[in-house]
Amino acid sequence: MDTPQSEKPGVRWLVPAGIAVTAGVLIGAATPAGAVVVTEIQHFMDFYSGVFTLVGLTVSMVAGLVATDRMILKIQHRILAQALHRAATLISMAFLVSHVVIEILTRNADVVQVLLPIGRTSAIALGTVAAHLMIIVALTGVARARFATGRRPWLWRALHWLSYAAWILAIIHGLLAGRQAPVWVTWSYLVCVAGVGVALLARGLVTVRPRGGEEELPEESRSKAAKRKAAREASRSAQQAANERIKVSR
Amino acid sequence: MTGPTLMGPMVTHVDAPRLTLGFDRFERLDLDRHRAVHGRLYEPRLSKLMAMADQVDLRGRGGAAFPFARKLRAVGRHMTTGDIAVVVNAAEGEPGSLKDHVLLTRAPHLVLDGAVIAAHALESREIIIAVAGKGPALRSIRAAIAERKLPVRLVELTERFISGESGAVVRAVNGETPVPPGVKVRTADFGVDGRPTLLSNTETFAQLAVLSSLGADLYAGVGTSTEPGTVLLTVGGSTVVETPIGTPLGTVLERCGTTAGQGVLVGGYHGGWLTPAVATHVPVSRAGLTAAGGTLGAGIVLPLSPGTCPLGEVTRITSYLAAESAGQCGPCRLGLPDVVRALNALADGSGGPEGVRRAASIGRGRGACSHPDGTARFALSAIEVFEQDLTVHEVRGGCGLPVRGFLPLPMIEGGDGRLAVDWTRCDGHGLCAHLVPEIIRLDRNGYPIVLNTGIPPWVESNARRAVAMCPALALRLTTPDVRAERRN
Repeated sequence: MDTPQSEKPGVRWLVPAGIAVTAGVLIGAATPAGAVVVTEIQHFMDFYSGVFTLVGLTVSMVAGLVATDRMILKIQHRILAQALHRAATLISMAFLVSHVVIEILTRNADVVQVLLPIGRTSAIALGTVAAHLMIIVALTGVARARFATGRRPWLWRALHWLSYAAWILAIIHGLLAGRQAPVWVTWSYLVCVAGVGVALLARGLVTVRPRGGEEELPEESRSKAAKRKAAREASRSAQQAANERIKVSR
Repeated sequence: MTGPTLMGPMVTHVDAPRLTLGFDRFERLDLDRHRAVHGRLYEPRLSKLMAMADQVDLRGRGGAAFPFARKLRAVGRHMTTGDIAVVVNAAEGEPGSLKDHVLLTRAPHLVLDGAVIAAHALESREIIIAVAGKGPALRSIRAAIAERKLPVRLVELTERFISGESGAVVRAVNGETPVPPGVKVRTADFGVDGRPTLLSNTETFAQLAVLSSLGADLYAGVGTSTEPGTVLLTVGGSTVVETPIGTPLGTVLERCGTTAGQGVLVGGYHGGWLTPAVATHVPVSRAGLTAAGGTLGAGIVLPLSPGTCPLGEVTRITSYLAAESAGQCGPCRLGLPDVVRALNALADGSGGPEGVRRAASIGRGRGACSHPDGTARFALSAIEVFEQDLTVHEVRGGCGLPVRGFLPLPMIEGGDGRLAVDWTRCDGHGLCAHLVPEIIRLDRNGYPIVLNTGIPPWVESNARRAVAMCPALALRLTTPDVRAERRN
């Protein structure tokens, strides 16, 4: 049950949990064995956080696109797709942060390059622009409810369309910057492109369709009502026995 | 008859007062005055107390009318083994009820006497008084406890319609969320901190004190043969009146300076409506009111004055009751908004009473407490009693009378938000109806119908999700306080 009471503890535990994990990592890194583990993790992140950022971004885009479908998906599936869209975005943003931090720490980029799209190679500059666009899209995505209240919902849509630009730039950045991409990584990029292409096509098709479509609702509610009625009748005899017990004493 | 005092609502009586004895002379009966008025405290043993309660058939006065002697017996079985707690339930969650408030404010020692008598008989060492909200009642009972140097624990509760249910009170005393528990456990066996607990309403304890000081025979000197004694009623949400059981309701209304008006609601918002003709003659007793189609409940009597639209008033109260649900049980969470929808349709002429009957057939006992039952009974009796008004609504789409809000409701807090649709943007995606089925349904074309009530707290997070997930950015949450909205 979603109640305000059940939400608060989650938020309350977030900060202490974060501090505990950070402290654990720092203490772990101080021991020789821990230092090895931390170095390994750092290497791993150095290799893959950029890849994961892009994969997360792609999943987010596909899920976001799929969520707009009215042809195949039912309402609950669209809600799930939206939830996936948000979760993938969050993961992608987290990896983006780690990607940028690690690139700075390993001296592959400097702070100026992160803030401005200038520098040694244009491949890195593309990544910078893509990251900035991603951040704009994510932040306005969080503030979506405000756009719904305001008078310019189209502004939100325009800003959200920037994600396509961000994504294409991110893919080019991924292929050109850094190490030579292994074959499977290149393949996964291709799968990404194909996925978003298909999803875009689906979106284009659906918006052409006239609104409304098949009405599931009356049928659904009727079947629900029938179920409720059946349940009522089934429990009627049980209720008579229960009636003795339900008297609420105040 | 005493006028309105500094201490609160007007208090009056038909025939000789018992619980309200001395109220015409004193605003508050402190210990000395209390002893002067009611005499010395007499503490009978359990067997004697049970015999007396049995003889006069003393019932719980919080609404359920559970036989007090049976309750004593159930708790008394644990006397040798358990550490028994005695709880005075003063969580008067129903708007329109003031009797417990008046007792605590003006005769706190009578209530304490009752609790002490019960505690003594059960050899209990802990008395707990659960009071809703701060105010004169809390101050008065606190002062009374200090006067007698009693080891009584005071628990402050948040005031809500359902928080007066016994299970909810026990949970509140235990420091849990004050909602009725899903699994019924007998408070008598497993109450406060898992101990056997005698929990009853404030008036019940006051009646117990009077019974013990008068003795069963004298106590039964007034009232009917099956229901002896007096009863406290709250009339019109403003006047508390003590009357012998069996008095015609018309006499009580007259004493309070009012009439039956368009109809009288008896038993509060879980009770039933009576037509003016029936209300004038019906005797104020459990049997009499039940036979007439109402209930005595917690003694709430609400005559509906002329000049307001009865159907509108009923809809207003039903919306409130739907929002007061704890949202725990499906039949209540989804069923009560259905009743509101059906009543709305009735009011604007688009639906008939059949719709209300269908929506209100929630089925008895299908909830952790009697909230769905009681609310359905309230709506059903209203469409019977106000049949004429319904016909006018059905034919003309309204009766032309304004809804004046004569029936009492608690003050609505500032954070009461509403969902609003921008119809130019809405594209009938239907996600909102899936996320908040309590408030939003879809019409035949797949567009949302938003129930025009406030958003109950347990729906709020889902309402926010619906706003965030609307593909057309057409849904928004409006709050009276714009700054509160900005913060979110």
